[in-house]
Amino acid sequence: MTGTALLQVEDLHVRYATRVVHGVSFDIPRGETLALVGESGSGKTTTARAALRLVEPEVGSVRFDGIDVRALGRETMRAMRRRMQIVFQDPFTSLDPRITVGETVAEGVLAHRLAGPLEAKKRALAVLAEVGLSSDEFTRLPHELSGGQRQRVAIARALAVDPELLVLDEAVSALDATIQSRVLDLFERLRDERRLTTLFIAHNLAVVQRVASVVVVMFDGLVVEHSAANAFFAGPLHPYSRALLDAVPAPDPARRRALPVIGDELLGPSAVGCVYFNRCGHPRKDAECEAEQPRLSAFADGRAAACFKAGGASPVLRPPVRPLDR
Amino acid sequence: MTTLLDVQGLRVSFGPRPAVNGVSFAIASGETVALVGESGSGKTTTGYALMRLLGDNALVQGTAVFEGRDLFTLPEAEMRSLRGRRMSIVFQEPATALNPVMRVGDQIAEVARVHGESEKAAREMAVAMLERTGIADPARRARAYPHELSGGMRQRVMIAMALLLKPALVIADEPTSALDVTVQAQILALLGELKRESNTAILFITHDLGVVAQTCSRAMVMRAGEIVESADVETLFSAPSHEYTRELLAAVPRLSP
Repeated sequence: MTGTALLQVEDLHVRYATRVVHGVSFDIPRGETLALVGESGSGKTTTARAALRLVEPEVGSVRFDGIDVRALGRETMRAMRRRMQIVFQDPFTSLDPRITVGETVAEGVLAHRLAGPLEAKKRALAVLAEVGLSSDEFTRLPHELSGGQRQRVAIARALAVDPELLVLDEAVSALDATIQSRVLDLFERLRDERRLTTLFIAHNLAVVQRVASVVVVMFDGLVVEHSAANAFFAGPLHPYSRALLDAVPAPDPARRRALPVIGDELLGPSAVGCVYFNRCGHPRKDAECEAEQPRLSAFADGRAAACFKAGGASPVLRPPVRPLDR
Repeated sequence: MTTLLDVQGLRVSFGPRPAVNGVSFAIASGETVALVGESGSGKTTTGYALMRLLGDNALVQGTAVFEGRDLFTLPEAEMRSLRGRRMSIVFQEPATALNPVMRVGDQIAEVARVHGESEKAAREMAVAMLERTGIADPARRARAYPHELSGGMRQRVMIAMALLLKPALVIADEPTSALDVTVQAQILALLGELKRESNTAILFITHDLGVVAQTCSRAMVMRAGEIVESADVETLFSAPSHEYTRELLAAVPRLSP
């Protein structure tokens, strides 16, 4: 455990509605971005919520700037919340429909007594401009905006209170590419200028590659891979990581390839043995995999994976499927 | 290749400013064509106009000749006989497009019943089609309600409905945008297999240039209600002629090797 980590999550176990998270651990050093990837239901959002204590974990510790977050009382936790902000995927449910965009963004600044009303308004305008919204939008209500505009309001609201940790839960996924690219530019600038630390939850690995220094892959509530981003994108260890990478459609017709069908979500996680056993296309999967869930084990280049067959040279094979017009 | 759909001068307005402003294009039988654009570009409105799903507040002008008849002047009864049989639509969000209180098998079977199949035959077709989409134990799944299925399975149900009667044209409106990437890959593979079997043409409405590059043979780029560029995908991606297309391509997140 490094002394410089802003967020330290250790052995987190959460049970929330039908979601279960088992023994998730990671550190995010100040100024770094850690990406949490995996399909819906894998436990990414539940992990993030528990890390911010929006849901109570059953077991595990969460330290923010060295402070045990779970031990904090209501008032201190409230003050702490300014320093850790979260933006959700669907801004419709997280924006108050009755208050204007400007008020929404200024609200946090006022609530945390970071500035007076005039200064708060100035700050709101500045941060809205940073996410590409104009002063025209300042007096609008959420329903008068497009989905992309609302999402940017939610991002502006989080940034306005000058957080140290920002959790983006699929927050840029629904944005048009041109806007998404601008918002990512903004995050990169804030990371460099203010050492903003980010927990980035996304399913688009191309976006993850742009922003993250570490990639954590979750499947069925477990961490199956935890690797330095460079090593991960050069060659992930877990077959599920490979399936995720292979599924990203390359924006290049010259690089058309068979769409992977293995990793079929119609096959659920396995009840015994490795959780990924049912869907695994690894050519060397065997009785050991069927019998036992492998532990997360360290490999070279800052990589770790929960796979008995990780690190071997065998490629993951899959049957070819023709794209629509081939 | 024969022309299946020929759209000329399509204009759609909901108010003073047109949402679609003079769009013309043709689709050949069996072709997969992308209509690409960002939110608000008019791409979904174009698709809805062709299916005649826009409300009375929409003013639709132009012509859309489909299998020899102009969709915009057909009586509603004839339009109903086309929908589901000769042309159909797959929506982005199957959770809202499916009827929440009707079993999915009945929803698929209804498409066949409406077009004259007997109750029994329609039911058998629905189960066979569900099986075709890769869903295990289709007879049991047919009795499920939409909320009992995953997002990927619901989209398989939508696709089963859309392709049940082997239509000549499917308008697919962001069919995979709400799905995980691994599920997206499977849904695209499924759509590809089924369209080849029935030689169905697809108008693929999407904002995702990755999906376009991987699945379509031709693409039309829409901005502010107009098609600014139309080309085969190889040309569009390697030598885009319009500044806006270049801008879109530059913004696409891509995995570097």
